[in-house]
Amino acid sequence: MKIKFKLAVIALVMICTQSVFSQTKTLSGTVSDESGVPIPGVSVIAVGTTNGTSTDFDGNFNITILSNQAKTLMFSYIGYASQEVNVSNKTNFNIIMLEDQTQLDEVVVVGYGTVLKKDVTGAVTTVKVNADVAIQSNSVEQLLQGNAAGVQVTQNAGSLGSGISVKIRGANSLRGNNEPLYVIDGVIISSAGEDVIASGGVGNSGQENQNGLTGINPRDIESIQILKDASATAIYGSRGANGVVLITTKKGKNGKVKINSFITTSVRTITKKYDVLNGVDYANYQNEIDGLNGEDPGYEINGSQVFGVAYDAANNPTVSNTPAQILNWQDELYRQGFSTKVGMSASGGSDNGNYYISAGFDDQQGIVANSSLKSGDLRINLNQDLNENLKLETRVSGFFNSTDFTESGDLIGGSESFVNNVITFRPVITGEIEDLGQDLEAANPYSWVNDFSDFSKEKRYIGSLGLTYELPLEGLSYQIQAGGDVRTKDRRRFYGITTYQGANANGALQISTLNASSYQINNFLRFNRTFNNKHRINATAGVTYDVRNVENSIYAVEDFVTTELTTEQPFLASIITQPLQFFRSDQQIFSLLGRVNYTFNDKYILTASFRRDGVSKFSKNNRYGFFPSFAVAWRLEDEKFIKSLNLFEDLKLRAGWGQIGNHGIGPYGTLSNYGINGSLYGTPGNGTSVPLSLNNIANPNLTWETTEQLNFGLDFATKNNRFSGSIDMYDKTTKDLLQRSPIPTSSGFGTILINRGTISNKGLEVAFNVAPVSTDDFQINIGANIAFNKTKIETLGIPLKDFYIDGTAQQKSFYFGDNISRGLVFKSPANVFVEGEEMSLFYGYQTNGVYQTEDTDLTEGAKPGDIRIVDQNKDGKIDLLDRTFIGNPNPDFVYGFDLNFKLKRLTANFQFNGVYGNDIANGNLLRLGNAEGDGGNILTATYNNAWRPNSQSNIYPRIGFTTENRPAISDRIIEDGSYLRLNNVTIGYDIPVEKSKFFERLNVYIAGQNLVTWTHYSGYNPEITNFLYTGLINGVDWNGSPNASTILLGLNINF
Amino acid sequence: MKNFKFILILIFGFLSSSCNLDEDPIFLDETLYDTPQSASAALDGIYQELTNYNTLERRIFVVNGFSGLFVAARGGDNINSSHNSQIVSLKPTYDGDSESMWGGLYGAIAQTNSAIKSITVVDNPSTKDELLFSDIAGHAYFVRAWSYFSLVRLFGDIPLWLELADSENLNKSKSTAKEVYAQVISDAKNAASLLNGASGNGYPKRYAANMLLAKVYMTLATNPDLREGSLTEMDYWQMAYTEAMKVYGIYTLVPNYSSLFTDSNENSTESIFELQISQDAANSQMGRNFTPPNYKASQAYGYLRVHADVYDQHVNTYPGDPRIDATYLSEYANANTGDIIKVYPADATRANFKIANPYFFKFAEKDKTHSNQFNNQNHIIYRYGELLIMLAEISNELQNGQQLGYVTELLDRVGKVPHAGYLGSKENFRDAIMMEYRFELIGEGEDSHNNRRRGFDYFLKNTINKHNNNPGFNANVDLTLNTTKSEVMGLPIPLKEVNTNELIN
Repeated sequence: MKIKFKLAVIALVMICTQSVFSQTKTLSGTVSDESGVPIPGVSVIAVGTTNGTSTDFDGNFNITILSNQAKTLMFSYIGYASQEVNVSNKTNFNIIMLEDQTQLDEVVVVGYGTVLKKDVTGAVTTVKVNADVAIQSNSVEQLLQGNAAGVQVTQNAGSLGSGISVKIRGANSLRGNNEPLYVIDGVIISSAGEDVIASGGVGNSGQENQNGLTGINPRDIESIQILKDASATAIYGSRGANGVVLITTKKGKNGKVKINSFITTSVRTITKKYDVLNGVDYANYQNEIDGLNGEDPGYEINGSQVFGVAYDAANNPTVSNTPAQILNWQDELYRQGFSTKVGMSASGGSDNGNYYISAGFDDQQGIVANSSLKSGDLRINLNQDLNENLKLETRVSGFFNSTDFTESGDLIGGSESFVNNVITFRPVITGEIEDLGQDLEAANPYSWVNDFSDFSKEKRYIGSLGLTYELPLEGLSYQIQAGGDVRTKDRRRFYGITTYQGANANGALQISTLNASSYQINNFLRFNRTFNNKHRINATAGVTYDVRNVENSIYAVEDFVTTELTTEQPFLASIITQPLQFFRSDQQIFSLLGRVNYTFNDKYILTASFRRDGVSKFSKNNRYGFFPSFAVAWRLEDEKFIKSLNLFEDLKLRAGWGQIGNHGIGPYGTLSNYGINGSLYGTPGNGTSVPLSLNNIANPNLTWETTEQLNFGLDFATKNNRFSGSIDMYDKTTKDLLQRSPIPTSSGFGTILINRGTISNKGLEVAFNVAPVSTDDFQINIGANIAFNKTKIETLGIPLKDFYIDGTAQQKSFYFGDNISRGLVFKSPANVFVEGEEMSLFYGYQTNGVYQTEDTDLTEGAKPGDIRIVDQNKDGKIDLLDRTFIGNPNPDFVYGFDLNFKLKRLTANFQFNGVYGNDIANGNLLRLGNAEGDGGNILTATYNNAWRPNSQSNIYPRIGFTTENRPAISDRIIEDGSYLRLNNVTIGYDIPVEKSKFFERLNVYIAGQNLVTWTHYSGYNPEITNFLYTGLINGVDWNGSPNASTILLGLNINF
Repeated sequence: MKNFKFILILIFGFLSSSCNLDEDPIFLDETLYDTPQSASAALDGIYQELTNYNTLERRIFVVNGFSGLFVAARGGDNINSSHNSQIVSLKPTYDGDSESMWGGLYGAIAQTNSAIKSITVVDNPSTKDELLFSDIAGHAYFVRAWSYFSLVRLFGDIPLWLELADSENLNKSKSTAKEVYAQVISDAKNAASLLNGASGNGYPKRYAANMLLAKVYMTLATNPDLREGSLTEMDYWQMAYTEAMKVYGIYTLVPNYSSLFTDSNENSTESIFELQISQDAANSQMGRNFTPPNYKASQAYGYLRVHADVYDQHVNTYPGDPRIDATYLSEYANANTGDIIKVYPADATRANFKIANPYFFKFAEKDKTHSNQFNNQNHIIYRYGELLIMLAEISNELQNGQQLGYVTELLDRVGKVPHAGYLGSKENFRDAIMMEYRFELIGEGEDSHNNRRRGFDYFLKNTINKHNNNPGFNANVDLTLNTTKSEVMGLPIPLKEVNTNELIN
C-alpha cells in the first residue's frame, strides 16, 4: 500500500512538471467514497497519456488534458476498485469510489512482512471484519467464529469473559492447549490460555479459566489474516505449529479528522433450562426413596401443596401447619442481564503521517445477579515519516477490566458447583423461611449470589515502536521494532459462611495474581524490488529476541473474625491455608529467520523460508531447532490458454511444504523441582514447619514436537469476481508430541512432560463467496466455508497391552484421559487415546435398556430395574473388560456461512456457524438421569418414567439406581453434539444525514447474538468450554454454564 | 546518513547483547539433603506426605470402612449409599478413596526414595550433623517400610518402587506380596539401626521400627504363604516377641485414656509414632470429617459410625469402661441450636439408619465452639497400648506365661481386669485378645488388618458373621457384610493405576 502510494506521489510530481503543448481542456470534480466522505490522494490519469493528477485534501481534482488524445479518465486508489470514466463533453465529475475487497493488488500481511495478495503461496485466510459486528464483539475470537474455513472457535456466550478455545485445522498436539499464535501489529501475544493459578480446590475442581486474550478491542481491528499451512507459518518456527492469527489494527487515512462514535445497549437471557422435578413430584420422589431405604416419609402432599413431616424420638410424625415453599431454582437465579457499551475513535492523517485514537467502555451484566464485567480500553496508533527515508510506527493500547462471578463456581459436583447447585437443589423449602437469600441453610443456590464473590481485575498494556529506514539500495530497507505486553491480573474469590466452602472454613478467601511481561526485539532487512518487469523479489531476513517473564502467586486464608470485608482484607482471617507462594515461568527465544518470495513473469511464484529458534525450555543439546518451508504457486489466469477462456479473474494453484516446531509446555520441565509443595507440616505444640519435597520427575530429554505439513490449494474468482473462493487440502503430521502424560501414581507422581507419539491431521477446506446481485441500491453477498478434518493417532510409543473392544482383547498401544471428577460420580476417564484411532474417543459401557423383572440373564450383582450394561465378553459379570468405544468427540466437519443484504439504506447480516458429527459426554446426566435418591433434584422424565416393578420402563432405571464409583462411563450420557447456530443477526439502517453539516453517517441497528441453536443436545449448551486446556479430557460437559442470547440495540455516529 | 549510523549502532548493540537461554527457576535441587537445616525440612516433607488428605484421612476412611466394624454416613447417609453398599459392606470396587490413598502412600514412598538416594550417611556417625543425617535416612526407611506395609496388607501384590522414577523408568510391574514383605523387613531393620533420635521431639524413635517389625512378623506368622524359607510360625512369633520386647518398658501408658484423643496431650509418653497436626499448618480436616454433625459450631460430617453390635459387645464385656465414652458418642447437644441429638444407644429405637449406630468419636474435634475445618489434634499411629496387646497376643502364641500380665497392665489404666475369656484355653485367650484390639484401638487404623490377619475363616467367624448374625440385627438399618472370600480379603488395585501402568494388565 505504502509503495503504491509513494509511486503515485512520485508519478504525480513528474506529471505535474510536464509542460502542456496541445489543445487543452480542464476537467474538475470531486471523488468520495460510498458514504460520501471525500477521498484525498486519488490518482486521476488521462488514459493513454502520462498526464495525471491526484485529488486534494477535500477530494477535489483539476486536470487539464489534450482534448484530442484523452477520451477517458482513470481514477484509482488503494483499496478501491479503479474506475474509468468517459470524458466526452462533460467537464465536471462526481466520482464515487467503491471499495474493492477482491482486488488482487491488495497487500496481505504475512509473518514479519507483507506480500501482494497475488504473490501469496500459502494457505492464508483473510477474515473479513464486519465493522458492525466488530463493535458488538467482546473479543477477537468472536470475529473468527464461523468466518474462516478450518478455524473452530469454542466459547460460552452465557458466562462473561470465560475461557475460549480456537483450533486451526484440528488438534495439533495431545496437549489441550492448541491455541494459535496471535500477533498484533507484529507483536506476539502468547497468552490465549494464560491465566492466574487456582488458589484453592483440588484436581479438576479449581476455578475455571478466563479468557487470556484480552486487551484487543475488535472494533480497532482493520484486518485479520490466518496463516494455516506450514509454508505460511514456518517463519514463526517453534511457535507457528497451531497456526498464526495476524491482527492489524486500524490506522488513520489521509484527510481531515474522522470521528466515529457508537453506543450499544443489550439484554442477555438464558436460552435453555433443564427440566427438573417440580415441588410435588420432588416430594413424591423423596418419599418413595425414603420408603425404599426403610425410612419414614419426609413430606406430606396435599394437592399442589407439600408439607414437611418431622419425627420425634419415639418416631411419631408431626406434619407442618404451613405448606412448604416451592421453587424453580433456575427461574430464581437466572435473570436478564443488561449491558451498555460506548466508544469513540478519531482518525486522520496528512502526507507525513496519520493517527488513529480510540477509546471505549463496556459494562456488561451476566445472567446471574452478581455477575458482571466492566472494561475500558484506549488505543493510540501513530505513523509518522520522520524524514524521507525514515518512518516511525507506534502502537500503544491500554486495557483494564474488572469482573465478578463470571464463571460457574468450581467444577466439581455437589454444592461446590454453582451450576450444579442451581439445577439440583431441592425445590421444596419447608420450615419458616421468609427470606430465602438469608435464612436458608448453607450451600443453597442463593449463597452464590449473596455470599460469594469472584472478583478479578486486569490491566494490560501492549505497545510497539518500529523504525523503518530506506537504505540507499533501491528496495532495501531495515526495520527495528520493539514491542511489549505487560499484563497484571488479580483474582480473588471469597466464600461467605453460607456457601458450602465457606461454611466449612468459616469464610474462605483465595487470592491469585498474575504478573506477566513480555518483550520482543525484532530486526529485519527487507528487499522488495521488481527487475525487468519480470522478476519480483520480496525478501525478509531477521533476528528476533523474545522474552516472556511470568510470575504467578497464590494465597488462601480462612476462618474470619468478620466476613464483612469479603475479598478486601485477608488479615481478618486467622488461618493461612495456602501461604503466599510464587511461581515463576520465564522463557527466552532467540531466532534467526528469513523468507524469499520470488515471482517470475507474474505467473510463477516461489516462496522459501526458514527459522532457527533457540529456546530456553530445553537443555543445551536440544535447544536449537531449524524449521524450513517451501511453496510454489502458479497463477493460471495469466496464462494465455486460460485467459482465452475469458472465464476467470483469478485462478491460482498453490502447493507448499514445511516443518514447524512447538515448545508449548511450561518451562523448567528438564529440571528437578525440589522445594515447597504448597503445604505445611505441624510441630509439637501446634506450630508449623516448612517441609521440602521433590515435586516432579524431570525429563532432560525434552525437545520440540515437529509438525510437517503438505498443502495444496486453489484460489479462483469468476463471473466478474462475483463468485470467488478457495479450496485447500492438507496433510500434516506432528511427531515427538510434547505432552504432560499421566503416569502410574505408584511412581509417586501423577504426570511427566514427555515427547511421545505421532498424530496426523488430514483435511479439506472449502470457502467461497457469492455476490449474485451487486448494484448501488441492492446487494446480496453470501459467504460460506466448511472444513473437514480427521485427526488420527499414528503412534503413541507405549507398549502394547490388552485393550478390549466389543469384548475381545486386542493388542493396542493406548492411554486413558484424566478422571473427570474427584467425587463419587464420573470418577473415571471419559476419553481414551488409542493408536490408529481418532483422538480422545469415548470409552465405556454400552447399554441396552433396563433389566425387567422377568429377565433371567442378569449379570452378577444386577437387579431388575438396573440399566442393562452389555456384557461384551459374556462372562456374566460387568467389569473393565466390558468397556468398548461408545462415542467420538471429534466433529466430522465445522462450517459457517453468512448472508449479507443491502437494500438502499437498509443492511442485514446473518452469521451462522456449526459443528457436525461430534459426540458429547454429558456428565450432568449421571446425577440428573438416574433417580439415585441422594436428595438432589433430577430430570422430570427420570423420575416420572422410572422403572417400577408394576410399570417397567426400558429407558429409565429404577428409583435408587446409582452409578457412583462405577469405573467407566456408559453410552447413556453420550449425546450427539452437532449444532447449527445463528450466531449473529444485525439489521441496520442509515439515517439520511447527507444534508446535515454535522453528521457524515448515522446508523442505527438492532442485533441478536446467539439467537437460535439447532441441536439435539439435551444439556445447556453444545459448545463445551469445560476442561479447555487439559488435553486429557475432551468433549465432556461437567456442570457447564447455561447458554445465553443477547438482543442489542446500537447507534453509530460518524462526523 | 545520521539515521543510518544510528541504526547501525542499534544493530550492533543488539547483536552483541548476550542472549542467555539458560533457565533460572525458583527451585532447589538435591543439594538440599547436604545441609542439616534443609535436610530436616526434607524430612518434614516425608511426614507431610503422610498427613495430606489422601494419605491420612482417606486411609482412615478406607481401613475403617473396610474393617467390617463401621457404617459410613458419607455420600448419602443411608443404607444404600455407594460407600455402604460397596467397600463398607466388604464388596470393594474401584473407589475413589482407596485410589487416592494409594497415590498418597506412594507419594510418601517417592519422597523416601529421594532421601535415601541423596542423603549421605557415614558408618558410626558421631558429629551432630552425621547423627542427624543418619536419623533422617532412618526415617526415610521407616516411612517406606510403614507405607509398603500399609499397602501390601490391603492390596496384596503391588509395584515395589525403591528408586525414583525417571523419564526412562515410569512403569513398574507388580511384585509379589512376599517380596514386598521382605523389603518391608529390610527397610524396618535399616530404620532401626539408623534412627538415633537426632531429629528431636515429634518424630518416631527407633522403637517405632521395632514395633513395625514385630507387626510384620506377627502378620507373617499367620500367613504361611508369605514366610521365608524354613522359618516356622513359631519362629515368627518369637521374632515378633524379640522386636516387641525392644519397645517394652521404653514407653508408659498415659493415665487418662480419653486424653489420647485431645490436643492437650500430644506426643505423650504413650506415643510411639505420631503425626504432627496443627490447625495453622492446615494439614488435617479430621475434625471436620469425623466430628458428628452439629457437635461443633462449624460444619462437620461424622463420616463414620460404629456398628451397634460392636458397641454392645464392648459395653457387655467391660461395663463402665471409660474407653466407651472416649470412643463412641450417642447423645449431644446441637452446638448451633441446643437441641439434643440422640442416636443408638441413647435412642435405642434404631428407627432409621441415621440413628441406628453410635458415632465414632476419637477423631472428633472436642471443642464445641471450634469454627474451622482444620484442627490441631495429632494423629497417633503407634502407641504403647497397642504394644501391650501385641505382646499379650504373641506371648499367648508362644505360651511363655507372660500374656495375662500385659493385658492386666493395659486394663489397669481403665480400672478393669482381664475378663473370664482370658482365663480359658490358648484359643479363648486368642479370641479375647483379638477383641481387645477392637476395644482399645478401634478406628485408629489397624482394624482392617487385625481383623484379617488370621485369615478368611477367622475374619468370617469373628467379624462378618458375628455382625450379620447378631441378635439385634435389623436389615433396615444394618449392613449385611459380604461373605465371599475372593472379595472380602483385599482391595483391587486402583483403576487409575491400572489405566496408566503399562506393566499392569
